[in-house]
Amino acid sequence: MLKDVVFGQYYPAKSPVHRMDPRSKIVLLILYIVMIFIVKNFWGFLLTGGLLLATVFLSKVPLKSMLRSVKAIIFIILFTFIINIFFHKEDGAKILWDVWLIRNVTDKSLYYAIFMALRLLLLVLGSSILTLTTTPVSLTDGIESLLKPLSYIKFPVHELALIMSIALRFIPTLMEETERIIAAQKARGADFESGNLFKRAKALLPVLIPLITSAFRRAEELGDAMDARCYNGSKNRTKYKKLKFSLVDLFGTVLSLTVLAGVILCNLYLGATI
Amino acid sequence: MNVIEIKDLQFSYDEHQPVLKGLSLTVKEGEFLAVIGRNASGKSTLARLINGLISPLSGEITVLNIDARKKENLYEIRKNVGIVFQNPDNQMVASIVEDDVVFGPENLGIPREEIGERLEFSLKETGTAEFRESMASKLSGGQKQRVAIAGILAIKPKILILDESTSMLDPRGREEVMSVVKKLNRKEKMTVITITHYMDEVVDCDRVAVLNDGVIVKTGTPKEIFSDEKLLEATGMEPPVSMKISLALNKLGVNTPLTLDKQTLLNELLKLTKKPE
Ligand SMILES: Nc1ncnc2c1ncn2[C@@H]1O[C@H](COP(=O)(O)OP(=O)(O)OP(=O)(O)O)[C@@H](O)[C@H]1O
Ligand SMILES: [Mg+2]
Repeated sequence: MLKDVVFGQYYPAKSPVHRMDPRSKIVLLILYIVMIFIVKNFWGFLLTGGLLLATVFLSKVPLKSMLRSVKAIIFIILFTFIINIFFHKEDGAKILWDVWLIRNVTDKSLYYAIFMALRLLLLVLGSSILTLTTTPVSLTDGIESLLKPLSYIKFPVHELALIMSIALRFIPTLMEETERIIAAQKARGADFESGNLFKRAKALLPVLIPLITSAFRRAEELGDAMDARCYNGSKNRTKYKKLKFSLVDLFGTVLSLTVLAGVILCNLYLGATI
Repeated sequence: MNVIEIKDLQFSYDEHQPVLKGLSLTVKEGEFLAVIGRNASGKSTLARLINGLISPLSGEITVLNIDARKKENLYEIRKNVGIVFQNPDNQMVASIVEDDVVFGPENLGIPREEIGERLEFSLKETGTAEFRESMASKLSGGQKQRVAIAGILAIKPKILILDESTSMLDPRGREEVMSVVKKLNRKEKMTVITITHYMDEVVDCDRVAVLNDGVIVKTGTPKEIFSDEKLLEATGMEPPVSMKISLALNKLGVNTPLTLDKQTLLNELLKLTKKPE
């Protein structure tokens, strides 16, 4: 269950998407998210969805891994879908369904709900492509490099990047540990599934406390291990992996900009339906 | 030549409870030394002192003729003394094997090309090249510890300390790790200090140091240590099975040579049973 969360789940493969510079991947992802939010009709989604599919295909990441990230937030998608379908109000909407409990479903609200769900879906899939094809270290290297200008105003860019990569590194470890503690508490008769929200939150306390204690112990040991491996801050530090803008990045940028232009044209000429 | 010289070392985490009480020890170049002793006898403390993670109250520690007590020497010491700790999950900095192995040389400011060479060398020596691009969290305990060793090797230390590095592993993982370490000791002439509770790992060492109540009470070959019953009793050590049996036989008046080697013991026993009546 917890393992379905895809944060920091890198899928190793040799593909043009994996080869891309993490900086361009981050910037292009931001561009992609902007596109998804300015899309005003389904034609735009066709284009952005096409871009996404092409990227997934080129990345050699199996669909199964992609779907796992959807599974993790399927509730949020369903929830917004349901909220929108019942509560989205628009003038001139034709009522499709207004019987018993399910009221006020109009053609417009159905359209809007589908639109929003698609937007979320594309958002999650696009972001998971980044984490699936980029190792945590190169992801944080990318962020570090993009934030470099901030270091002139004494912002601790290197430290921030290191903290992020360590956090990503420990997610699977702590997940595993959480599951182990939950299993141990269940074996002692703890009940996590029944009772109201308050009761359930209280039941989690005996899980959180050992988890936090152990996280502190881990942090201490990791600190020692880093010291023992000559860590000395960013001073005189080299980077083994060099970030390089290459042909694939150029290709990706051109492709994304083309899609952006397409989306804008669709918005202008094919009618804004949202 | 002695790579480590420790004289009269004292240390305590808090004033009321001294942990090391005048410990002396020398480690020779290229040797495989085991440090044994009961829980909380100060073995990890000793390892941390050698590497400068903590500094002593009094006494001397010299590593490769460098004074380990001086703050300005720490970096030089840590370049030369690598420690592999107990928990494989708590010493990896990066999620991917390769990224973790290069952490040390990156800290040292080694040029990129050389880091590449060191990476290849370390992966090869530890047999971890096949999962160089894997998530470290997906590896077995033995594989993780081999990656940890690779990360240390990339720093090119002269001395490798294992602080109960095999204690969280299954027998197979333990075997994997120890065979890598033995190879490094033999082939690369690396000085190895292993702190362990597994007496089977101690048997093949060149020398054993017994730490008890904050001092080294005896050093000697495994055979010398394990045939010293008084010492073993006083320090709560259990000799390996073959030594136990040969000691017991001798007590019963059966004259067998004391041995740590299972095969030798077996041959001796066979000889005994074959004796014509
Ligand atoms: N960070 C610390 N702060 C305070 N006391 C400590 C600390 N680390 C260890 N000690 C204490 O110092 C003593 C020696 O600990 P040390 O870890 O060196 O023993 P050890 O021989 O490695 O034991 P083990 O076999 O359990 O690993 C113990 O009594 C321990 O409780
Ligand atoms: Mg210890």
